[in-house]
Amino acid sequence: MAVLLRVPEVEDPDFTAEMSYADGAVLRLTGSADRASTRALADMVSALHDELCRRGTRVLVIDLYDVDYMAAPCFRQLLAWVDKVQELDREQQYKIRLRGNPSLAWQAHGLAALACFDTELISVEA
Amino acid sequence: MVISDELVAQFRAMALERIERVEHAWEQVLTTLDDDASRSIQREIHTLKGESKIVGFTDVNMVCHRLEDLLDVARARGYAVDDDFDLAVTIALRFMVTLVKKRSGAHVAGIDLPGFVHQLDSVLKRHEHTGRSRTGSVPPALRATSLVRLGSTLRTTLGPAAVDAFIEYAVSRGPRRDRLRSSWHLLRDLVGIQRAVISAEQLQKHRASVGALAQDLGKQLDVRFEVETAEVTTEVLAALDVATLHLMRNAVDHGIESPEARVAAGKSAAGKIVLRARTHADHYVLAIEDDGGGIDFARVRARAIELGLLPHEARVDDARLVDLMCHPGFSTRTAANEVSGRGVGLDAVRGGALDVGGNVSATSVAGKGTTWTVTVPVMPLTVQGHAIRAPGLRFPVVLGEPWKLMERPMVSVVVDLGVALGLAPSNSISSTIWGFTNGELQLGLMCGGKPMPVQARTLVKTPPTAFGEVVTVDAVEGMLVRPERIPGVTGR
Repeated sequence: MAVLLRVPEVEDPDFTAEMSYADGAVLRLTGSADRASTRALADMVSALHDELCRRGTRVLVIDLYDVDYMAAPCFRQLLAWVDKVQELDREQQYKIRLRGNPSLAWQAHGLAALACFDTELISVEA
Repeated sequence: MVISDELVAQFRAMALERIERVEHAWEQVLTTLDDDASRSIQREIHTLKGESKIVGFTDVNMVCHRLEDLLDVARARGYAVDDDFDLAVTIALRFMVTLVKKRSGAHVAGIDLPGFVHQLDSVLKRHEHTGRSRTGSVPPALRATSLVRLGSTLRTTLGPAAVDAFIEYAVSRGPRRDRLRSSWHLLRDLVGIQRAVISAEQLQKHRASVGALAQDLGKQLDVRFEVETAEVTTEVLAALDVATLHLMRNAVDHGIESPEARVAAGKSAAGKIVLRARTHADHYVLAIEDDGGGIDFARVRARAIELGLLPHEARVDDARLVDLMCHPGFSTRTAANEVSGRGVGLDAVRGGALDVGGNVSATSVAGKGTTWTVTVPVMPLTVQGHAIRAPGLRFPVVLGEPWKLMERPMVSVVVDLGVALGLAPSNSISSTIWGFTNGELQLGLMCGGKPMPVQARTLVKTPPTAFGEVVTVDAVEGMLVRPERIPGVTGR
């Protein structure tokens, strides 16, 4: 089953989030996350985290391959997400696999640094 | 040394507060001109570095150290950092939050400190040797020396090109967006408005300088500053700063007499200099008044004739003589000393004022003193209006004065701004039509959501004939449009 989660309140066709549970939990983000998307992304992260906990998800793939740009305040929402996962009890934590595009400068540096936050929880697939 | 749990808990709470303050200040320093924010970042990180060492959080200490290096680079470049640099600082601050929290019992054993430090080092290495690529905000003191800027005429001419670059960047995707971002940021550096704050604090630095000069010349001085704080461009600030420097030094060197001469003339031994700076309508006026001997206009006239700037028989008023005093190379001194005589000071004052569209004048009464006045226009740096989200455009669009939202729109022309600007037609969001009028024209604009009243800050200024400017709305870059200037929109 594929569930389309439009980033709430932004109504921006160029930054979308699509969540699928068909083949494991996969969140596919596409487009450009400008500063204007920060609040919407924060809301989505919060709602999705609760949903993943409720489902007892063990692994989440975040596919960022087609996110061509992410402003720092938006990236901070991903960092806050990791923080939320770390705050969970060990048995409730889900692993995060980041699927990126190393040809994009922001991803090459940002995702590598993000993985350093918790190598047991986060991994990066090029 | 054994650190008590209480001390560690105290450190942890304070550290998290400090990091939060730094995060806020970092955003602020990148989006507004705020020296306080810059100083706050330095202070907080340095304090955190020291505190973390005391309580044995050596990893926090290490990241603080790297962060200080990064921030030194940012500061040296006047905070003209690119998005990757911004991202690195943002991540480093969050990484410290993780480190600070980690001993609270949460399971975060997988922290890769060496890997993270390596990432920071690579960012540092990359930026230590690269040129600037962005000017989000630059403290005025740094900007004046660190930026290559174009003249105001050329900036105005290039404004529309910068607006085009912004639009192309803002609607692009993929690797093309990376490339266009660089072009847009380069143009933004060159032609964008850079804000500064003129304040008593800003000009007070000249007090010590003229005090030392007075001492060297054996004069006594009483200096007073009455400065109204105002937001101006860095160019205006630089012009007023240069004017203050030279006019105050001139007042001490040429105007104020020796204590003996003053007492003999029935004045107090200490000469008075009053600097007044305030906004008058759409101008900022700096006046420097001294109670010295006044300008010797006869001597100025004689020197002007001697230098070939005036014919012998010329009849000129004091204003013309003041104008000649500002001529390059003009000095009533026949030999230069360490303070004056090169004829550079007043030329620099007038040149700086003219560069920003201002002027310089002086009035003087023999034996009573002189008042120099520098008047510079202050352009409005904010725009009141309504922000809309236009279909297909990923940035806020602002309609500023005189365009107003109509309460009961009766419009015959409906405009999709994305299409009108020659960009991809809207393919997505549900739009409603909102009416706007500038008093003459009435337009319906397709909007995703209700137009919101905003105060936008001008980023790239263009002539009134251009179809738009680049502005920021709550720190997000967007566009101010002048619908009447968009070809085809109103039948033009």
